[in-house]
Amino acid sequence: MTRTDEELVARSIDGDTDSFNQLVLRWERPIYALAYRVIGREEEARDVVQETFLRAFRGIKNFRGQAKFSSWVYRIALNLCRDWIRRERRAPIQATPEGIDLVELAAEQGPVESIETLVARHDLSKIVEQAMALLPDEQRTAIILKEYHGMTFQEIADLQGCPLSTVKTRLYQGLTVLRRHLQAQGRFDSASTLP
Amino acid sequence: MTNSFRCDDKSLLVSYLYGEVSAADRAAVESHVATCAACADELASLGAVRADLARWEPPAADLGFQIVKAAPRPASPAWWRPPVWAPLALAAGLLLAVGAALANVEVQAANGGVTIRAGWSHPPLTAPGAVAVAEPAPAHEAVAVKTGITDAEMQKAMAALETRLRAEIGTSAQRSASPAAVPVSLQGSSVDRGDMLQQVRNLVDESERRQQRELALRLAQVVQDVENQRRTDLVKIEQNFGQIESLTSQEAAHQRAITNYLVRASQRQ
Repeated sequence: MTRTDEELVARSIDGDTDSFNQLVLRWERPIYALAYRVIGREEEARDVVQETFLRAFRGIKNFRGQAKFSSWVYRIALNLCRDWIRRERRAPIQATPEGIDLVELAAEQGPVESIETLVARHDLSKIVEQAMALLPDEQRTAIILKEYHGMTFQEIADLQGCPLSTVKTRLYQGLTVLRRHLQAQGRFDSASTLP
Repeated sequence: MTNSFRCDDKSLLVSYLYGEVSAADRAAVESHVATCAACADELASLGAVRADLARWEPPAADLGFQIVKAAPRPASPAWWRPPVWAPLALAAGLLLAVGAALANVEVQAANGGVTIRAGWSHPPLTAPGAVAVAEPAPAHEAVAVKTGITDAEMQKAMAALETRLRAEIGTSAQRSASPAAVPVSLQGSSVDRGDMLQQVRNLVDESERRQQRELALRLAQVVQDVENQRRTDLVKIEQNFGQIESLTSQEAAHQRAITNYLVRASQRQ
């Protein structure tokens, strides 16, 4: 029988570690995806996931159910990502994504093409990742929460601690920057033009 | 709720894009887009961006985190709790046992005394005339430690023999003063002297043989030790080569990562 998050949370509060581990199993992949897309590094994203659930476990007795469990752990994870970005003091995923060896690519392709071009041609996923890296943290996070986690404008506003209208503005501005970047990379057909 | 849509109303455009819009607003946007090419184009391109965003997948990760509670350590019963000095005593006993095993210690209690032997030499063979050497030690020498090759023991035996010979000679000299006793005494003395010389020769020969055996044994042991050491060194050298290869690979990867980082940093600037 599959228990709801609320039931598992209630059991966890009573000290049932297995129930909490079921919550971990249910939510670790979405949290990992969130952390990876926000900070752009696999190892650090795994660390964020681990730390998120450790903090959730330690604080589960104080969780009163005023929000969904998922929203709560999302908030913890986002705070950890924000801390990581501040600590690094550099634009996250500004660099080429992990797994691409620029030296090898350059050696294979020769010196004619630029490094940017080589990386951009790697695959679409990497192009999108690069484009997302250009966005300010707030815009990128809003788009990630909307596109990949299906949150409503209001849920994003609650998580980001801003008015609903700000969320829409962030989404629009972020999508517009992405559109420009992706078009510059040769994405979309000729019908779609810059305004 | 609005019944019309303006081109600069990006908030409503985003709401329409994500489907979080009322039916009336949706109708207003669709009505406007049908007549405004710029808004239609923008809406289409933003939709295309969303389609591309859907292609971005994070790399597969091995997660499987589990919260594990540490099991409480069982408390030892009071009668079982070892004293503070127990580990030290245990270590000392172990050290003694290992040392005794290595030294081949042999303890014998006989003739009212205790003899402790250490070392790997064979016990000396009892020669016919070696009674004096094998005699029980005096009470104040009840505990004797014999180790290895017995040069000192040999000297002691020779000294005992010398003492005994001097005693014999002294006895025979005294007996020579009595004429009735001369033939017997002289005869006995000459026989004893020959026996004694033979005994000494036997002792010396036996000692030489024992030393040769000991030497051969030691040489064999040294050869074996050298061979063992050689094999151990070969294994260590192979392991070190493996580590060096691994470190070299890591260093190369590190250098590559640094190069990548520098390229990226230069890109940013």
